[in-house]
Amino acid sequence: MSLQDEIAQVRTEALAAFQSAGDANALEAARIKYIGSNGAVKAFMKRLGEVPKDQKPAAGQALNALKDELTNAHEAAKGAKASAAPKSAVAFDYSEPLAPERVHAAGKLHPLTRTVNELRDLLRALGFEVVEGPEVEDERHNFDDLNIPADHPARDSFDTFFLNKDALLRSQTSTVQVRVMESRRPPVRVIAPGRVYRPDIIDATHHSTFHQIEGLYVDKGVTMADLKGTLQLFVNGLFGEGTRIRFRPSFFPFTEPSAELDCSCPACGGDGCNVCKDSGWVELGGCGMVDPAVFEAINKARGDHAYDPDVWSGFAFGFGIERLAMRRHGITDIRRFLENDLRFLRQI
Amino acid sequence: MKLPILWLRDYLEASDAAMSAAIADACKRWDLEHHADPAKSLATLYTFAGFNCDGVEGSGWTAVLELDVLANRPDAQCVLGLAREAAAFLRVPFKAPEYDVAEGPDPASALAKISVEDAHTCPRYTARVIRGVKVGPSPEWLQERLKAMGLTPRNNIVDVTNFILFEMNHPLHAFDLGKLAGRQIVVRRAKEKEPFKPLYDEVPPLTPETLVIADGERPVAIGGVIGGAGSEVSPATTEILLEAACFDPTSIRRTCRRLKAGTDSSYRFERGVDIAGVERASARAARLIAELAGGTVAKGLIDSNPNPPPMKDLALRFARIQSLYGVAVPADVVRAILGALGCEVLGETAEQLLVRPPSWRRHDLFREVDMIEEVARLHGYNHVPVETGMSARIPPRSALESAGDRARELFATLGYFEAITDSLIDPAWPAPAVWTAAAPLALNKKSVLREDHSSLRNSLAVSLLATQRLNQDRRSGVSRFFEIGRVFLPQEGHPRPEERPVLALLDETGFAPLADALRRLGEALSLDGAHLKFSRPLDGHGPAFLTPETACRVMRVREMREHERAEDPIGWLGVASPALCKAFDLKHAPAVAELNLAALAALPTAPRRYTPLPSQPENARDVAMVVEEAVAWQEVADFAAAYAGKQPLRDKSEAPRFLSVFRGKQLGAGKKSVAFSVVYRAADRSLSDEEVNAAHEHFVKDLLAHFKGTLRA
Repeated sequence: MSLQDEIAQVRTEALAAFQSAGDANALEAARIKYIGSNGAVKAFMKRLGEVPKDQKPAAGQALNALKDELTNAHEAAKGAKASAAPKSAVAFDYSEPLAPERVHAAGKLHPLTRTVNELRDLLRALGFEVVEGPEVEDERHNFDDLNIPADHPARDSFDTFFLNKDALLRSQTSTVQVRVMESRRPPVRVIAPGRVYRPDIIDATHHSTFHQIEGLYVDKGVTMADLKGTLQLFVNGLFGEGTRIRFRPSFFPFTEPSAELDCSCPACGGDGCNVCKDSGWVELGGCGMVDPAVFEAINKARGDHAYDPDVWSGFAFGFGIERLAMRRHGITDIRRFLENDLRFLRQI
Repeated sequence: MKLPILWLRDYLEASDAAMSAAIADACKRWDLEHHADPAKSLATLYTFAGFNCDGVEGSGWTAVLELDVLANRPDAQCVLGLAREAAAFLRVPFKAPEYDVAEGPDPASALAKISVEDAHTCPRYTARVIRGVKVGPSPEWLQERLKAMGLTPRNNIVDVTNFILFEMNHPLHAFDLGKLAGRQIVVRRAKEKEPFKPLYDEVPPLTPETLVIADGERPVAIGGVIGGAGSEVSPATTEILLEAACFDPTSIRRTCRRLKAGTDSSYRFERGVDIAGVERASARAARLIAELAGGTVAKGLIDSNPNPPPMKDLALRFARIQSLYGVAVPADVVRAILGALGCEVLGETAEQLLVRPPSWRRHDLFREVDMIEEVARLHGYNHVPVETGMSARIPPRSALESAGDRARELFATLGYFEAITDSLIDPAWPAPAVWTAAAPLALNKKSVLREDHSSLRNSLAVSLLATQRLNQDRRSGVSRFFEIGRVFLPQEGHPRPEERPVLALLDETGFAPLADALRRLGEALSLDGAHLKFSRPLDGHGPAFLTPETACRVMRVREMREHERAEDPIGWLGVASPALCKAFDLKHAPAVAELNLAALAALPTAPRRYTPLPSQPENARDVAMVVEEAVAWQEVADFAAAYAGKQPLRDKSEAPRFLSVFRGKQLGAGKKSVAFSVVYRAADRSLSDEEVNAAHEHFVKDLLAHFKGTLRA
């Protein structure tokens, strides 16, 4: 038998053996016999020396081709075995959780941070820059320059914690409006998220420490329509496209005209439910056009006339962040926010 | 403020049908839901005119609305004021009440005298005299209106004064003239502890700060607040002195605070009543008293200030309305709105109106912008279009904001929950003095509501310890928290404290995980080259709230090289001391860290730099060395890193890799085995086992000698 015949015979045997192997062990035995490191193909390689010189390249090529063919045939047989294997043989349960010590331990941002971040990102896209101001303030920034004179009944609604006669805890983030305008010339477009304090009895809907986000936009030709447009985008981002808004007249010493902003109830979409007391609307916060008296107070503090109310106009708005987060997540107790119970933080 | 619709309609010239039609029309104009019940629709309309309706009692034309009147609208604390609003938004004619009074021949000034000693606190005091009255019950229409307001009718004199208060927002007082000593009124300051008995309740002893209305001998009322017993109208009264006056709001406010008393009168004087409306209020009351109780109104008004300051005329530019409100309002609509509110239009051009506001709007209608608000409000905020013509300009972010965001992202990813705790803390808490030795700033006692929320925190760590305690008590889980917030540090000679942004971490699972998290912060913040490192434990020189053997400074690598001399470290970390754990009753001593975020944010940042990946394979060799417990890994790592400088085959870009530490009986007490590996590699060729082994043997020999260690068997 010539070498070529022997090769042909081994090829036929090997293909049959791979095809008919009953289990993985038989297939492995066949692999070792034909294409293993001491198998039949290797043995042929060693015998290449016997081949006449002029036939060597052809024989070598034929052997390599055989090796590739058998290797592929073995792989195919092995694949067929694996896919034909009964499912029950595989130890797999899609619903099996990780052992507790191996679970990915993910933390989370606080819901107040997440709410602020969303508002901030929305308003940043509209060109509002994030600024901060001190939480311990003086009366001028917290009251006087915001057009809330001493002994005015308007101060009743702004009860305040005092440290001493020259220092108080700011009762609204509007103080930052004043500080920004004192230090920058118009136009100004800023938001100021931050912490505020009021001596309220702490209960499910009140806390003495809470957070607000203040917005201020001063430029030439700013109108209530710009305010409404900005707040519409703000509300869409927070509660979804299709949320409707409306203004109700209101009073704030630092804006005129002033309005309360309502939006269609995020819980029921405006159909009426217990959240909105069947009105279909919920209150979000206050807003309005910057009162010229505020501009004048700023001019006085700056010692110039940078904020000429006949040239510049602006809007301001202020929202309680807790209240927005409560509306958004259906939280019914404001105390949860500063308590940091892990069960709450994991849930929201 | 209660608003009985029945009473409201006294001042609106409209039949039921006309009212219904006007209401439907207004709802349509303002795009509001129209209800079959006119009271409900009116409630909504008032809400959108700026008078939020809290409730409706009853229904139809007899219903009573409960309306919130905003602080800037004292004039609307009465039915007449609210009727003007309705006239404006319903566009129905307003019908003013009758103010003229028939007077007898005798001049009032001959029948009584008034003198005002403090014209600042009482800028106007007037009196009318009515003689021959017969005190008795009021007629049905008057009783009905007072009852709707929630008042109990008393007699025809007192009821008229109450009626005027709610009708015109002008508090009046009726004295029995026969009981006034000397038939005179003296408006003056009280004498110290001067006897005075109010009509009801008790008040603290009078002081000279209190303005009283006195007769020739004694106080008969506290001005603008409450009348006194003895001079009030009784069934036997036949002569009345009717007071109509104005008091300084600030003084009334202070008086009420001092007396801890407030009445319907003081409430109105505090907010401001119409100084020019005094004559009208007085005349209308006198007219009603004469009508209901008989008697003759003496001629004239005794008046301490017959010429109150006139109202200022204002220009209202149409263009200005549009530039604030965003809507062009037709001139005739502007005129109609202002007219309904009582403004007089004195002149008009194509550009503007010249307007004189009514005297009762003295306190809130004295600028152009005030009138623009009125026009916008009563034209309807629903007409404001939604516009977003603002140009986009992406604003810069502050370094502090970016640092905060990156730190939050890092620690949340590593399994920490963000906490946000109250900055008002319990002064009884132990104060871990991280940033200052001073105690937390205390709030002024007077403004404190709760003792456990009465100090401003000077550390965040303490709040996180309290948070661990809460979660421990509620079995809510293992505490791993971070917080970014401000601490308040007193500043010498400055009324306000420094507010320092701080980052704090707490890890109930121990020091190592917290330290691992902190080690990653430098990279997360993209700090330029210099990463954060910890000093060796300071053995008693760290903050006392940390156990001495764990308290480490957090610093930049560059500062570490300067022999750890940095006076003001970026922060601290360590394990909470037993005393602190005991104070919060914690079962597991947590590791805590507190870092100055402002200082971190101020460090220079730079993007990470690429180093070409090595083309040659690495040759790692392990060492397990048994050493004294006192030898810290950091020292071993520093030695191994420095040794790379002596060995050309060591890959200097690869830091020594910590593998494990083992402590056990086999090693003996006070010993530990530290296992780590170092990497050998040449840039341009692969190394043979022989040359690597030779270099490593050299290293191990010197390592063991340096740390007096042995190889682990």
